[in-house]
Amino acid sequence: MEGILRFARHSFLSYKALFGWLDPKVYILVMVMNPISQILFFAVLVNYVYDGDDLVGYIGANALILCVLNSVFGIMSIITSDRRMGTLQLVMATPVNKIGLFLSRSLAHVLNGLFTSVLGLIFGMVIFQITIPLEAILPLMTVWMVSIFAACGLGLIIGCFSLWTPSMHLLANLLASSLLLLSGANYPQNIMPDWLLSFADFVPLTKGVELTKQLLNEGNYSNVIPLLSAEFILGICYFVISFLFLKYAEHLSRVKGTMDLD
Amino acid sequence: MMRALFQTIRVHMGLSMARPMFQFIIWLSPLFLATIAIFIYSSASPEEIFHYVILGSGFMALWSSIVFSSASDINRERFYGTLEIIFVAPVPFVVILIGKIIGNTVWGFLSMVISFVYLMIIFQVEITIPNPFAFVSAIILVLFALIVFSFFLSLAFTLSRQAEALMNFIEYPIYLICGFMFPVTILPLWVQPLSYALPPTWAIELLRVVTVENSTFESIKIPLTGLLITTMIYVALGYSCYRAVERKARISGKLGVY
Repeated sequence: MEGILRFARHSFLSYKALFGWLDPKVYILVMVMNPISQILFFAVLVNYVYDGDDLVGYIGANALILCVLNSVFGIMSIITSDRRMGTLQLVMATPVNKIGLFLSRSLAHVLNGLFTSVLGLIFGMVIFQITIPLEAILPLMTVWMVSIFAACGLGLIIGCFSLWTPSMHLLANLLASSLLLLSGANYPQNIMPDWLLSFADFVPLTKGVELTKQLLNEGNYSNVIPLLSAEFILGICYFVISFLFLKYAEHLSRVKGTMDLD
Repeated sequence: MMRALFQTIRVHMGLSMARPMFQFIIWLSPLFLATIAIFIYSSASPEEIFHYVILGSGFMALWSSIVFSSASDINRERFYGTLEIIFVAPVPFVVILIGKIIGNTVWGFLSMVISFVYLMIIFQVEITIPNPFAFVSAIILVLFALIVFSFFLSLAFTLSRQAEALMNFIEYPIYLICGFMFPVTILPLWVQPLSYALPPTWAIELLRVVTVENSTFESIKIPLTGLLITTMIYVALGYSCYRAVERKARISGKLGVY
C-alpha cells in the first residue's frame, strides 16, 4: 500500500513541479485554449468537406488526438525539464527503480491527456450540438485510456532522445504531426496508401481513432477487444523500449559522463 | 540604412534556420499539412483542391513560419539577453526588427513553395495559373501585408508578456478564422467581422480570386481593397505598439525585464 501511495505521490509532485511555476493564464492558453482551437478548426473543416457525414466520429477522433499535447510534449518534458534544471544526473544516479520512477511520472500525463480529450469532446458536442449514446461512454473512455497510454509510451521513447540530442522540439513536433497524419482522425483510413497504412499499424492512436469512429458513428463494439488489445500490447512494447533506452543512457552517462551535455 | 537592413535579413535567416524547431516548420511541416489537406479533400473538385489544398496548405505553412519566428523574435532576443544591445545600437531598432521579419517571411515563402512542389510531384496535382503577372503581383502584395501583420504581432506579443504561450496558441485560431482551408462564409456570422479584420483572410482570398480563370479587375477589386485597408490599419497599430515598446524601454527602463 505504501508503495502505491508513493507512486501516486510521485506522479502528482512531478506534474505539479512541471506546471506549478506557470501562470494560470499560460496553463489555460496552452492546455485548454490550444486544444480547443485545434478541435474547432478540424471539426469545421471536416463538417464542410464531408457535409456533416459522420461528424460525431470525426469530432471524437479529433478529441482523442488532442492527447498528443500531453503524451508527446508533456512526457518529453519529464526528461527535458530535468535536463534543463540540472537535476537529471540526480534522478539517474538515485538507487530508486527507474521503471517505477518514470511510470509514476507518466501517469499524470496519461490522466491529463484523458482530461484534454474529454474537454475537447464536450466542447465539440456543445458547439456542433451532437450527442453520443450513453452506452458508448464507458467503452470510449476505456479505448481512450489505453490509446493515450500507448501514445505516452512512444512519447517517452522520444523523450529519451533528449539524452542524446538537443533538437527535441524538432522530434516532438515531428512525432505530433506524424500521429495526426497516420491516425486518420480527419479522413477515412482507407484513403491512405497501403504502405502508409501498414506503417500506421505500428503507431499509437491509429487503432484508438478507428475504434472511436466505429463506436460513435456505427455503434459497432465488435472490434473493441481485438483492436484495444493490440493497442495495449503496442503501448507495453513502447514503454519497454523506452526503459531500454534509459538503461543505455544511464550506461553512457557512467562511461562518458556526458548526460547533461549535447 | 539599407546595408543594415540587408545584413539583418542575411544574418537572421541564418540564425532562424539554426533553430531545429524552425527547420521543422520550414522543411517538414508543409509536407504534413499538404498531405493531411489532400487526404481530407481527396474527392473534391480540381478547383476546390487548388483553392483549399494547394493555396490553403501553402498559406498554413507560411503562417506557421510567421507564428514560430517573427511573432516571438523580440521575446527571443530578450531571452538571449541581447534585446537591450539591439535597442541601443546606432541602427534604428525598427530597421533591425523589419529585417528579421523579412528574413523569416522569405523562409516562410520558401516553405509555401515546398508545399506546392510536393503536391505537384507526389500527388500529381495540377497547378494552373491563368495570369502569372497578376499572381506574382498578388504574392508580392500578400507578403508585404504579412510582414506588416507580423510586425504588429511581434510588438503586441512583447507587450503582452505572454509571447511564448500566445505563439503556441495562435496557430490554429488564425487557420480557422481566416478560412485557410475553407471559405470564411461557412463560419458563424458573428465570427466573420473578426475574419475580415485580419489581413491573412483578404490575402488568401486575393490569391484565390487571381487564380480563377477569366478573373477580372471587378472580381479582384474587393479582396484587393480589403487587403490594402487592413494592411494600412495594421501599419497604424504596429506603429502604436512600437511607440509603447519604446516607452517601456526609455521611460520605464523595463524593456529586458517587462
